[in-house]
Amino acid sequence: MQETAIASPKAPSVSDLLGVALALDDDELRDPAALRARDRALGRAFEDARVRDPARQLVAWLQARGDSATATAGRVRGALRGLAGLLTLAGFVLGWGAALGVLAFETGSGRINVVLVLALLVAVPVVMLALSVLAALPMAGASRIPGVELLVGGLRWLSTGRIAMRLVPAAQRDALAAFWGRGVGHGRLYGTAQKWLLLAVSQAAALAFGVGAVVGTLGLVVFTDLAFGWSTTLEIASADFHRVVWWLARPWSALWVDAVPTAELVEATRFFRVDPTVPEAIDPGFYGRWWPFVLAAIGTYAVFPRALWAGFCVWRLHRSVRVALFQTPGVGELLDRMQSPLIEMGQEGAGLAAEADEPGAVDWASERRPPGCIISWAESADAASVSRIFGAETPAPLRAGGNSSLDDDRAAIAAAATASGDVAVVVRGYEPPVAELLDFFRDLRTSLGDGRGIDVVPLGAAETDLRVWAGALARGGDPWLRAVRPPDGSS
Amino acid sequence: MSAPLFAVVGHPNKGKSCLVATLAHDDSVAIGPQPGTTRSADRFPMRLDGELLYTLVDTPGFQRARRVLHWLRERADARGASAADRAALVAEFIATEGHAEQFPDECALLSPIAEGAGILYVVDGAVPYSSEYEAEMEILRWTGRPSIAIVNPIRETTHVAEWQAALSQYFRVVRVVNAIDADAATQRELLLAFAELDDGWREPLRRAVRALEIDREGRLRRASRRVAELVAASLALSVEKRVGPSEDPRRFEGELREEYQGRLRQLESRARRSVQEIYDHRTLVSHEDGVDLLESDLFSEESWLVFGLKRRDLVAAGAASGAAAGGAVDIALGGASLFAVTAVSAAVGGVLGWLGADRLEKLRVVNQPLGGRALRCGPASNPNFPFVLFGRARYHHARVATRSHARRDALHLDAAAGARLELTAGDRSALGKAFATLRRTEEGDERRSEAVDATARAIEAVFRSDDVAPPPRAEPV
Repeated sequence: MQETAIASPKAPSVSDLLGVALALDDDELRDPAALRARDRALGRAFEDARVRDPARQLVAWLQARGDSATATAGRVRGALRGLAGLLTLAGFVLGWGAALGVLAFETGSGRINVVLVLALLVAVPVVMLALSVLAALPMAGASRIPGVELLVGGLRWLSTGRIAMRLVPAAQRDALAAFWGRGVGHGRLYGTAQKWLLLAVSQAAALAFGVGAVVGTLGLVVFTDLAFGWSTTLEIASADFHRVVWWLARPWSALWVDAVPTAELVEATRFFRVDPTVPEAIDPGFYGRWWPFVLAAIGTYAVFPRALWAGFCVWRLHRSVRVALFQTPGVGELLDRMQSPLIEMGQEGAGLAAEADEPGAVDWASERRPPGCIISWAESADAASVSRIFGAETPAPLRAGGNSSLDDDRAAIAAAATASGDVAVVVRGYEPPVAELLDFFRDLRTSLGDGRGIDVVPLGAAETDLRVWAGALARGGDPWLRAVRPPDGSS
Repeated sequence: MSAPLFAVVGHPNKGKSCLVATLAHDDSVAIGPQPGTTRSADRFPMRLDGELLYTLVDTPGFQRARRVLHWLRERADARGASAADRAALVAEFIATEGHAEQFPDECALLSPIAEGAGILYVVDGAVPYSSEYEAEMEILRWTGRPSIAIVNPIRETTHVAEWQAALSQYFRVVRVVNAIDADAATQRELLLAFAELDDGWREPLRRAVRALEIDREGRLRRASRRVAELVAASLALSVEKRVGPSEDPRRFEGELREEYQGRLRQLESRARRSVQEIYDHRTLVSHEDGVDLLESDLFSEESWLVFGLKRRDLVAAGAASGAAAGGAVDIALGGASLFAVTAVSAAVGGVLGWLGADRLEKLRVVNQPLGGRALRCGPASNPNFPFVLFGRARYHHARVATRSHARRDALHLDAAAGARLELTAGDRSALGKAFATLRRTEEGDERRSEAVDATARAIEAVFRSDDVAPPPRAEPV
C-alpha cells in the first residue's frame, strides 16, 4: 500500500467510481481478517488526518491501494479528461468556424443578415439546449408522456459524448469500456452517473462552441469591417421586427445600451434581395451598429444558459457519482471496516494440529474373568461395588490413583504381581484416560510380565466415553490388556 | 503494566477449548471428544486497533498431576521451603531439564501461569466431583496466582452444587458457565469477573468489554443492513420469458416459477452466509427449507417490442410524423385550413402507429422476431411476502447471533418457529412502511438507498429487542 496524500483527497469522480467498484471486486478474494486490518488502519489514518467525508475517504482509500484498480481508475480519468479536452477544443474551433462562416455569408448586398445570424448562432443553440434538457429528464417521470421515452432515448444515443468516445485512443477506450461495461451490467446503479457524464462532456463542448462563436465574432468585429442588415421573406414591418429585437435585448438593456437596436437602426438597415443597393442617404457606419446586439445575443442566449446548464450537469454528475458510490455493493461494508474499531481475537500462531479422532478399535469383552486381584483407580469402586461387578468371592480392591500416593500405586502393583490370575482395574468411565493411568498400566505390565491379563472396567461411561477408552487402550499396544464392558446399570 | 494473561487449565475433556472458542469468537479452535486434542498452549490475544487488551491461553489438560505434585512436595520438604517459596518451585519444575519431555502437558499449562497469568480452572458440572482433581488444584494453589473456577455443565447440571462446594475450598471465585450456550452478555460478565482478580486488570478488561459491546452493536447494524438488502432484492426480483408472437408463453410457467424460486433461494443463501460471517461463524453450515411463495399467481403477461419500445411510443411517433406532414401542408395553405390538416394527419398517424405495433411483432430480422409476448414471474406483490422473508431472516439471525463459537454441529432452522416470532405493533408498522417504500423505488434511484437505510433501521430495532430477549430455541443444545 502506498503512502498517500491523505490530507486532501478530492471529491469522487467517475473514474473513482469505477476504481472503487473494481477494487471491491478484487477484495472479495482476499482474507476477511486481512481486509479488516488493512481498512481499519486506513480508517484510523483518515481520522488522524481529519478526513471526515466518507466519499473522500473512499477516494483516498483507492489511492492508497496503488494496485490495478487504482491504475484503471487513473486511465479512465486520463481518458475522460482527454475526451473532454478534445471535445472542448473541437467545440471551440467549430464555434469559431461557425461564426466565421455565418458572418462571412453575405447575401450579395454586402450585408450580413442579422436574422440568419440569430437563427444559426442563437436559435439553433437554444433549441439544442432545450433538447439537451429534455434528454436529461428522469425517465421515470418522463416515460409517462407518450413518445418522450423514444425521443429521449434517441437523443441520448445521439449524444456528442457517446459519439466522441469513438475518437479516444484504444488504450483509454478499453478503460472506458470497462466503466461502460460495468454500467451495462449494473445499468440502474450507474445509469444516472453515465447520463450526467455524457451530458457534462457534451455541454462542455457546446459551451466551448458558444465561446468560440463569441470569440470568432469579436475577432471579426475587431479585425474586419462588418456590415449588418436584416432581411426576411416574411411580411413583417420594421416596427414589428424592432419589437422582436427589443425584447431580445431586454436582458442587457440596462447594462449595455449600445447593444439595444434602435428603431432607426432597424428601419435603416432593412434590405431586400431585389434591390440590394445601399441608399446613399444612409450613413455606412449604421450597418456596423448591429454588432453589439449580435454579440450580446450570442452571449446571453447561446453561451450564458449553456454555461448554467453545463454547471448544473457537472454538479449533478458529482452528486450522481456520490450516490452511485454509496450504492456500490461492498461500499457500506468497506466504510464500516474503516470506521469501526478493529477487534482481533483469533489464535496467535498455528499451534499443534489436533490428533485424528480414532474410533474405538478394541474388541470389547463382555465376559468378565474372575480376577485374582482388583485395583480401584481414583476411588472409582468400593468393596460393595466390586462384589456386584465380579461376584461375592472377589477380594477387596487395592487402591491406586486419585487420593492415593505414588507409593500406594507401587504397593498396588507389587501386590498384583504376587497375586495369581488376571488383574482387573476399575476406573471412572466418564473421566478420560489420562497419561498417569496409562503409565500405571505400563508399570503394571512390567511387573506382571507377559501373559497375565489386565481387564479395564470403565464404570459410569456413556457410549462416547467407551469409544474414547477403547482408543486409548488400543494405542498402548498391550495384547493382554482388554477392555471389559461394565455390567448393565453401572454405566 | 503488561496486559492481563489468563491460562485456561483443568482436567482433559472438561471444555477448556470450548470456553476459549466461545470467549475468542473462534470457531476454528480444535475441539474433540478425545482427551489430548489440545497439545500445546495456544494463545488467543484480544487486540483493539492493535493494542493488546488481554490474552487467553488454551492449554492441554493435566495428565500427570500427582507426579508433579509429588516432585514439588519432595523438593519443598528437602529444602524446608515455606508457602512463600512454592511459586518459585513451580517455576523450577518447568525449567528442570527433561521435564519438557517427561511432563509436556504440565510444562505447557504451567508456563503461562509462571509468566503471571491468572488461572481459569474448568471442570465439568455434569460428572461427580472426585478426589482425582485435588492434585491439580493443589498445584495451581502452589503457583500463588489469582484464580477463578468455571463449572461447565457439559451435558447436565446434576453435580454443579457439589462442585461449587468443593471448588470454593481452593478458589476465591466460582462461576457456572455453559461454554456451549454462553451468549454475548454472559461472555462479557465473565470477562468482568476476570477483571476482579487483579486491580491492574480492571481497566483493560473493562475497555475490552466496552469494545465488545460496541462491536456487537456494529455487527447488529451490519446484519440488519444485509437483511434489508435481501428484502429489497427479493421484492424487486422477477424473471421473464419472451416468446415470438405465435407461441403461448403460459406453457413456460413451471420453468419460470422454478427459476424464480431458485433465484430467491440464492438471494437468501448469500444473505445467510453474510450474516454468519458478520458473527465470525465462517465454518457454520445451516439447513433451512426454501421460502413458501404465498401467492399462486405471480405471473403477468405483456407484449414486447424491439429496443424496449412500447405501443404508445409508436402511436406518438406516428402522430408526430402525421402532424409534421400535415403541418407542412397547412403552412403552404397559409393557415387557411386552420391547421385541420395537421390534426387529421396526426390522428391518422397515431392510428397507423397503433396498428403498426401488431405488424412489428410479426416481423423478423435475422430470424429474430421484432415483437411477441412475454411472461413474467414476479415481483411478488403479496403484502405478507416481505414479512415472511424477514421472519425467516430474523430467526436465522437470532440463532447465529447467540450461537457459541464452541459449537460444531450444523444449524437447523425450523421454518415454523420463524413464522411464530411475534412483532410489536410499532415494529410491524415501521417494517410495513419500509417495505412499501422499497416496492416504490428502483435500484439506482437516489431514494432507493434511503429506503434500504430506513428498512435496515426498522430491522435493527427488532434485532435489538431480540438481543435482549432471544426468541425460544428450536433445536436441542
